[in-house]
Amino acid sequence: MKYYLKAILPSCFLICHSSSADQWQSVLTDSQLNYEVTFQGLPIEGRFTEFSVDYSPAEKLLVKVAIGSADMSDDELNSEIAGVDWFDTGRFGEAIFSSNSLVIDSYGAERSSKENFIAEGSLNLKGVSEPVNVPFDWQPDTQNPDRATMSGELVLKRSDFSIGIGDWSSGDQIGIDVSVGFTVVMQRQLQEPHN
Amino acid sequence: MGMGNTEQQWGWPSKLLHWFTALLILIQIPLGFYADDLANSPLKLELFGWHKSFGILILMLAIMRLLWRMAGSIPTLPDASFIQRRLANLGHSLLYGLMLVLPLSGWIMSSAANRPINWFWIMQLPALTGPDKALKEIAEEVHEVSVILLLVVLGVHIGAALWHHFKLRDTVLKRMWF
Repeated sequence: MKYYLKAILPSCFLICHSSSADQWQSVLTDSQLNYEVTFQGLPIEGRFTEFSVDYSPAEKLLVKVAIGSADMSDDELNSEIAGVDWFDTGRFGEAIFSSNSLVIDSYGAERSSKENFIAEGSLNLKGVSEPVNVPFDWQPDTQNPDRATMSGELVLKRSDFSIGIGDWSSGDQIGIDVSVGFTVVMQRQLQEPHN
Repeated sequence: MGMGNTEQQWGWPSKLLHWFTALLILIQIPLGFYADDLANSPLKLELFGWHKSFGILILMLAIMRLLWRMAGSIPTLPDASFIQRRLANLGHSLLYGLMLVLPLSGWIMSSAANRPINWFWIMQLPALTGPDKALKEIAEEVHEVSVILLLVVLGVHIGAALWHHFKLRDTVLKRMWF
């Protein structure tokens, strides 16, 4: 019963505070989607430069990432990770995370004024779909009521998505755990007037 | 055998550093060429991890040796002409220069290519620069030209040592030995 209530609450935030037709969309130029993996035990960073995040009360969250936009600040690394052993961007150009269940993270909510959620959903990456929970904060912009910032961090195992196959699957030189961090500025979409 | 170098003899720190560096360079050059030839794989990354670790060690040893030379003196060339002394001096200057330039250009290459260096898997080295494509290509060029130059100078260095030992039958090689 408690769990059920918790599941209702976040919907309450995103719905009660706004009309049910509210739609939010990411502003790419103000947003970041980074990942970090270990290279011989040391952190090395990459980022996706093309992605979109959509929120609507009905569909909840939809995240699309252009995998070919992965950038690790070096041409050789970039062409390596685009190859079949890694992202195989020729065959799998897009990753999609979709969630139709937002759960309030009550522990997080008690800690700060931000609203803390967990988006329960599924990540489709390199042709593999895995259930993934994405925790995030929802920070309304104090200046602009039509803006808010979503941010969060999670750890994925690249092995779950067959990323880094063959000799790379041991995690010997390039770690298995990949930390993903994001800061996404969301803009409320104005409703199209009905004709 | 003393610590300091004399007119006739190298002290044991100089000898130790010389032969340890020689051993490292002997491993380092084929290791670099071999790893460079490999297709991208965990083995390639691991071998380059060793290559970078050895390279930085050679750099540290070269700096120690230079400081040691500056703090003391070095033996003189026996019965050598002015030209011979100048050539020997040039050869040794080139060797020291290359022992600095090769590791440094490699380190810059790694940093410019956004790859951290985990020195012998015990210590992270600071990046000398941020990601920089142009700088990476320059450093790579310098590294490649320098190793060819090193092979030539090493050939002359070893050849000259053997020539002194077997042809001139002087003490030049012996005084570097234990």
